[in-house]
Amino acid sequence: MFGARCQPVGRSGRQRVEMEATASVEQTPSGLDEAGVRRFLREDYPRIVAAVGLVAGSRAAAEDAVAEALARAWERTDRGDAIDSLPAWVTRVALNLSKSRLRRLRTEARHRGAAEVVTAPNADRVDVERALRSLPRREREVTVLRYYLDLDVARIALTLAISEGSVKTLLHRARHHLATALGDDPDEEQER
Amino acid sequence: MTRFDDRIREGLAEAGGAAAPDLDALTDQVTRRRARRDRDRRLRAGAVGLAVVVAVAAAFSLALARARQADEVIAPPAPTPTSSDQAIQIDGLPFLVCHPMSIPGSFGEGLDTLWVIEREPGPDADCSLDEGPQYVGVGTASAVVHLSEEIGEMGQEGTAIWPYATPDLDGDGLGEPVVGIGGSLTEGWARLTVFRVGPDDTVAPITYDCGPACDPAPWITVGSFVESLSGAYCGPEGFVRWSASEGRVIGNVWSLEGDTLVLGANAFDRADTGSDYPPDGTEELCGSPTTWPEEIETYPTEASTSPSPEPEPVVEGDDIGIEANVCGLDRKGGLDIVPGGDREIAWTGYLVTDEGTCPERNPDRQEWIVAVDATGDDVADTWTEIPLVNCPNIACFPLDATDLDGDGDGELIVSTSFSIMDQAYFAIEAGDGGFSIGAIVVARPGHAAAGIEPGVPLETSSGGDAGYGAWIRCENYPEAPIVVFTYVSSIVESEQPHEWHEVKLQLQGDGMFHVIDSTDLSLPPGDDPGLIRSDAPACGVDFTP
Repeated sequence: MFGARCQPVGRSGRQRVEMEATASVEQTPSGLDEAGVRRFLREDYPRIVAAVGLVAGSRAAAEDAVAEALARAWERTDRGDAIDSLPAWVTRVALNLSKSRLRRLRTEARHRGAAEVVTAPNADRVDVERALRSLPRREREVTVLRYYLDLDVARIALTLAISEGSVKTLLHRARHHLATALGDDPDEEQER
Repeated sequence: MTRFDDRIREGLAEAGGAAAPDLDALTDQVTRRRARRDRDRRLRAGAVGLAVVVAVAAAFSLALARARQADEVIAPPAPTPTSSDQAIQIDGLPFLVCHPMSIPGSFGEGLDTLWVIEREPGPDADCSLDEGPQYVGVGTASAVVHLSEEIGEMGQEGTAIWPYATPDLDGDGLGEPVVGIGGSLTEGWARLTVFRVGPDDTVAPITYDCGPACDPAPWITVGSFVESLSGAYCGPEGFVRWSASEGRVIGNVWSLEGDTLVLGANAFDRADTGSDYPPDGTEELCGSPTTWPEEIETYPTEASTSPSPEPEPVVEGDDIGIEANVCGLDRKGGLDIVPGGDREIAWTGYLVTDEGTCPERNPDRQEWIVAVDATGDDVADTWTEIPLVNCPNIACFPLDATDLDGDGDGELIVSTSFSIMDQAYFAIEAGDGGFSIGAIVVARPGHAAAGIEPGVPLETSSGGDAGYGAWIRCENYPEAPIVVFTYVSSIVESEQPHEWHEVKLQLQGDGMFHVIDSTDLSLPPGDDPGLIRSDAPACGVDFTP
């Protein structure tokens, strides 16, 4: 029963996409200052935290990871390194950081006990969230970037620093796995 | 766009949400994080600068000494050494040595040099095996006078060991030899071991005494690793080791009493980012410059008089039959991971860059992969990425294979190389298109209290370090194996409760690890949780670091 295990993620090609300026939101100049940080926090932070939280399964870990990624971006630009797309860079680094079990455990311990706002969940939302959690990590990432952040294939490739072909393959697998988990037909009711 | 796509989009939109952030608080938090990182970077850069000065001075004095005593000091069995991979003789030692490192110090009676030495491993004066340092010595710039016994686990291959500093920790006017232990792959972080020159001319590591409430014993660490920042200095309180993480900084006073370094009271424990440490504002350790391994010159060897050969084109990494060459390759053969076989091979390593190079330092390394030869032709049939976040930071290797689901074929286990080993588990299956490998995931509901999440690859760990200890044992092996993962985490040197977790996992017919039992305890430091903590082989695999 291999189907339930993570699928191999070997890639047919290892071409890295050029880091062209295809930001998911407004392009950020290579230098960062406090005003730029505040602009990012106001315009990009909420959706990126939510996206990383969906992938990582922990809002606390996502907030921690995105803040750390932004601090690293700031430090980098201070050193003179250029970051072409700040949202893409922060998203990628935050996704990487959120993989850390140690970080997750620490941040969750820190947030443990804090009151959580609980709203009555929509049943279908629960199903979709549960189906998402059953996906291998990389498929979960492309799913969230595609369906939550609404990025196209090229921008997903840019954000994850993988080829567009890999993105398409991962999206195809993810849709198939989600459809299986949800008992749905991914091709039903095509809209033109 | 299909109805299915809309369903996913709407489900995620509701699940994700997007609350408005507190801009001021977040800006402040990011600013503090940036300041901490900047400070950390400057601290390391400062240490490197000092180390360059020290290294140059040491190399110069060694070169002078060698020029004066060339015939007596350098007496290799082979022709004059021409590269750092050839062993040399150092005065006072009964064996040839490889890659010796030294820094100046003041140990009394004309002893002014701290040495860290690797013994030449074979009969050919060949140092290319690079077994790593095994001895600590004290002597002069050209001779070792006092030598330690072998330094045991410190000499393990792959662990960076180097002379770190020679501070006067007990105020007697003489320095103590301090050796840094870290990974060459975790540059910027070191665990310190203090040595003493004994009355019988021995050099031996001192012992640490941190009292009954201090389990496991904290290491004296310097530099940054993962999310922690730490260092040591001499202040009015004495010798203080401080550590900062998660907005809290703790300082502990240590005193050197005879051959024991004794942990005293906390010098401080407060909410802080650690950005103002060390308080003396220097990168020195109690008056001694500190060094990092990449900056230490090895003992100078004689330059070759023959013309330099033309450099040959370098092809980096190894070809194991997958799309790209693999760097840092580690191989384990004789595995039983597919039906009818017992000679399968597993490799781990990281992929070459797009330029075909093998970067040696994090974070330039590519993703780490595990590959398997299931057909016995020494060519990989399938590969996948390793879902262990610390592979790029440390290194990963194929630990072993064992039958975890009782079906007669083994599952592959990959581990990080460190004092805490993290493990990932893989299944290899044969299909119409050949073999495929995948990380084995945890079934619902997992066990969130212990960080065992459903739907993601199982990750266990074994070994320990300050504030963390982990063990793996096995029940019902080989009939219906149950992997028992036990760990404890705590805040070092605090009275906070220790969090204990024991999770029993079984690899079942659906191909997933199921949590079948668990225990979670929060106990005061020193309280015995009553959980079995075994370092014995588990399910036929030795999980001890």
